[in-house]
Amino acid sequence: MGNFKKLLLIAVLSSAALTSPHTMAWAGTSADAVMRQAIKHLRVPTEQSRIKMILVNRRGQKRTRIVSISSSTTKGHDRSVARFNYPGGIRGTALVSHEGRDGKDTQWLFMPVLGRTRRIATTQMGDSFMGSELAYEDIKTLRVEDWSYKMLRKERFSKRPCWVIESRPVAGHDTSYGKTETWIDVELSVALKTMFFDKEMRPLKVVVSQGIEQVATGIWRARRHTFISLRTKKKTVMDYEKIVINAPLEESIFDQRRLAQWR
Amino acid sequence: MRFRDIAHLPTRYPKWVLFAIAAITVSLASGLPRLKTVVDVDEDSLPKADQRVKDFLAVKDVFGALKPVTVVLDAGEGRSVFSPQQLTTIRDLSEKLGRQADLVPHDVTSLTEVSDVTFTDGSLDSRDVVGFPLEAGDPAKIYAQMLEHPLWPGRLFDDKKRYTILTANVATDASLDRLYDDLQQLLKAVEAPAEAIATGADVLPVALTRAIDHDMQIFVPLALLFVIVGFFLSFRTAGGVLLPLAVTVLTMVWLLGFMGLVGATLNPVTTVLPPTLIALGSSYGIHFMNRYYRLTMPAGGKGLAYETLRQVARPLVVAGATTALGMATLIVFEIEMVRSFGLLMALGIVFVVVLTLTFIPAVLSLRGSQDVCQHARACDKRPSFLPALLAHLGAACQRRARLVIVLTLLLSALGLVFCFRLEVGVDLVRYFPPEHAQRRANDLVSEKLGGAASATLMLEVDPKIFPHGARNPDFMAKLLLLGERLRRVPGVGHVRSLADVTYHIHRRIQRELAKDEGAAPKRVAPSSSKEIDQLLLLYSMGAGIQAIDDLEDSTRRYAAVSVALVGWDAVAHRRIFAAARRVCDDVFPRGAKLTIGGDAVLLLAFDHYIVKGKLINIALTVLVVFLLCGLVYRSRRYGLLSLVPVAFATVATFGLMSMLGYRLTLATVVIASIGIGVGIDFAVHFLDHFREQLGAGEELGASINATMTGIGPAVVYDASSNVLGFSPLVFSGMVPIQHFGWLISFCMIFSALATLVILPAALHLIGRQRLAFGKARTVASTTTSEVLTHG
Repeated sequence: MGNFKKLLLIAVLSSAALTSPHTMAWAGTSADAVMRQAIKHLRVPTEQSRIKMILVNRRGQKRTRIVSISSSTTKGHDRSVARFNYPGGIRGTALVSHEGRDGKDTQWLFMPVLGRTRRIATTQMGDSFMGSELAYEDIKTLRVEDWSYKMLRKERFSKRPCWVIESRPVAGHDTSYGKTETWIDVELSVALKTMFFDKEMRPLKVVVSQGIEQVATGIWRARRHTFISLRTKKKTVMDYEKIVINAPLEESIFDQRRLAQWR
Repeated sequence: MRFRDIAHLPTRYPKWVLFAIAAITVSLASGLPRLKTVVDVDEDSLPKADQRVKDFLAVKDVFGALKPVTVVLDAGEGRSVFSPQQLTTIRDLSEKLGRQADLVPHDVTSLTEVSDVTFTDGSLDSRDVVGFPLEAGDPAKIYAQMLEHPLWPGRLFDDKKRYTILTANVATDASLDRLYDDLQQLLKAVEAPAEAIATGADVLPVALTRAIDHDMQIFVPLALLFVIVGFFLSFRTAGGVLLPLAVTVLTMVWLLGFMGLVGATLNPVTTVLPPTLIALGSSYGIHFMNRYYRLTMPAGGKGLAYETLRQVARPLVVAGATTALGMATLIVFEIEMVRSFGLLMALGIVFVVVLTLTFIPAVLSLRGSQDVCQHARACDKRPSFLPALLAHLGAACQRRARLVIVLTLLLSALGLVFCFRLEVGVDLVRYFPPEHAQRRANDLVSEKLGGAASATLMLEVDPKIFPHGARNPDFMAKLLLLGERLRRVPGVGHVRSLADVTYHIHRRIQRELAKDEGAAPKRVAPSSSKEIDQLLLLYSMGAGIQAIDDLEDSTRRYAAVSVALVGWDAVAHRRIFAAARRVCDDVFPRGAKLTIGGDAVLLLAFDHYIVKGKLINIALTVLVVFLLCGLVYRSRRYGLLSLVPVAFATVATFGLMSMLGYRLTLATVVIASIGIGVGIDFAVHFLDHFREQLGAGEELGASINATMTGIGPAVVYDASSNVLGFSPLVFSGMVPIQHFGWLISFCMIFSALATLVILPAALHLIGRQRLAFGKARTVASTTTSEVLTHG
């Protein structure tokens, strides 16, 4: 299982979704600086959201899951808790994730059928996350130093002026991607589209972000992210029904021993 | 303009005719580069109204029709796939497959890519079973864990641990040619003694396409070479070789070019078009040149060419029409590939006849009589062995006419008995010879890894009987029972449903809970749909949501049972499906409606239409030949007589086919049409010549003898040329095409023999009185020809 705090971040960040309201502050600077600024703006102290995740298979059939996620960043470490609200059969299932000092995650799962909270083993990086078009790699914390960035061009996307930034992995960084290309709204500093390429530089998947809005002062988020596999034509739509930034959160909600109390 | 005027054109305006032929050739040749080879044996080739096709599409609509690539890995004699070296190889192969451009990324199922829900010291673990780096003792633990899984032993690895399979799904926009080449390249890296072979529904057609292309490179030059030899042996003149050869080549260019222009493709059926055309094209040329050389006209050139044309036009047109119509009757088949073969072949025959009656006389009109002289010199040197032999044969058949007919009837009855034992079966794998990698891979999967052919049993769940649909615990229990009972059906290999994994995870959890409480597991089955939802959520965490999508639709109204079948025998498949329906009715007397889909169902439909189409086709071909010959000769008796040789040849060929154990397949199904279509030519030429003799006032015996010596050699040359033309097919890389080559060659021999043995006997028994006719036109024309003809 993945870290839902990261899921929230990556929904915006792995696709290099940038949240700086001060576009002109970095205009003309290097793409590297742009990414550093973006990641800094993403790390908010607390964030709560309710996500409707629609998995569309290659035959167009949909499976819907609704997940409530709360996350917190304290002293640079992420913690998150995800609770499944829908479908009814899995209501009560909860997953908590703590990022350790070594950067590795520890996760616990509560599911009524399991009888008690169980610690779960770390998931493989390249696997699909919850059957979606997101790979676990996509929801790992993005480290600026793992990638090198290059400003490719300026062009319009969805009638908006965008920077197109290319990200390539630095030597030694373990990733299944050869590169990504991100269209970033020049004025809002939000990614509108990202193309993922495999090691042979063939297009792999694309994510398009829509409904960009300011959810808190200086904090911008997309209301919808649509991940489309260019190989399988499968799709994952993530609709953010609710986003609350920097509201106080009880520490106990991240306590794995209390997962069973929530129904 | 009268026919006579039209017939005059090639000899009166030879240059214009040749110019027109050249112009048409250039136009049609422009389509040659567009001709493609496509092998796609799918539901589009079958009628949509067919219930099996409807079922196939219904299942496809809900569960899709994935075409996975299967890589069979053989660790080698006495070696185990659970060794660290082989597991590393499997991991590397899995990674490479996961990154292959034409496969769905990271969607590989293999020993190193499967995950299971387990508990380690109370922690839940849904990771891959095989973790790297491997430590000492790991392979043994991995094997022990995998043995516990309900779906892996016998599917992911065999009981001797020597073989395993890796599967990956083909991407929707995949280039199958590139995928095929990449896979061959990738699998070369597997170190001996291990060996890996890729196969699957998208690999087989490419392998077949390559085999067809390879065949084409061999067939055409070899067939041409063989018929050139045949022409030379028949005529021993430049014209006797080059003119029929030119007709053959031009016909091929016209037809293949036309196919390219209209978008028709080469496939396992139409691949026999070129050699068939070469064989047939040569026949028409042989008959024309045979008559040309048998006429004497001092002036040679135009006069001789015109007279030849006048004499052969009718039998050639009649023979062409019967052959073309015989081929066109293949339109009754409801399999697209066979239909298009029939129509294209009919068109090819039209081209052959047109070119024979225009190109050859036009060229001959421009030449002097040197060719005739050359032929005469060659004939002078050549002993008249064949005509003499045929004369003896004709005489013998007349003397022993009753014996000949009785033997014919006995042999026909014997042939018919064998015909009823003829096996039918479309089996793409059996297209390859036993030593071919595709054949070996599929046989290995069938024998060792749970079966290569696949079927999907789709159950539509009635929510009134089973609330929550496929997630209902009672339904799930019955689904498990269904799977268990299906596994006991002979011929059924691997069976997979969501019930297997649901119960497996449930057992694991119950065992863990019991361990927590220090007691024995309490429940053997999940008790609520909520519990099943959670169990399957756990399953999807490791295996992915696709693993669920493949076996249950998102509305939970449909559940699938994936059934692998051992072997590709259609008869066995039919029996298995009948048994599956009985088992399903027994397990689900109500609440679930069964629909069977999958590739095996399509193959059954192909079989059905091959048999149905074949029977209608033979009946229709016989009727067309009878009507046409009866109409041309204005005699029912002659119509029936013309059928005798082809009827015997057809029964004998199918009987032989059955004796040799050859199957009626997409390739061999067209034998009857070609056999009748070509074989009828012999009878038409024979009867036409016989009637000429009879019409000229000859006695019955003399007419038969004159026909045996006059047209008999041409029949022998024609049959020999056909056999030579078809013989390259026996070198095909595809087994049914090899069978086709042998059988059609035998069919030609049977037809020729029947014409030269049965017809003389039959004519003798019928007697002159019943065979007599009085058509002034024929008598007049034959009188002219009699004057001009040798003997």
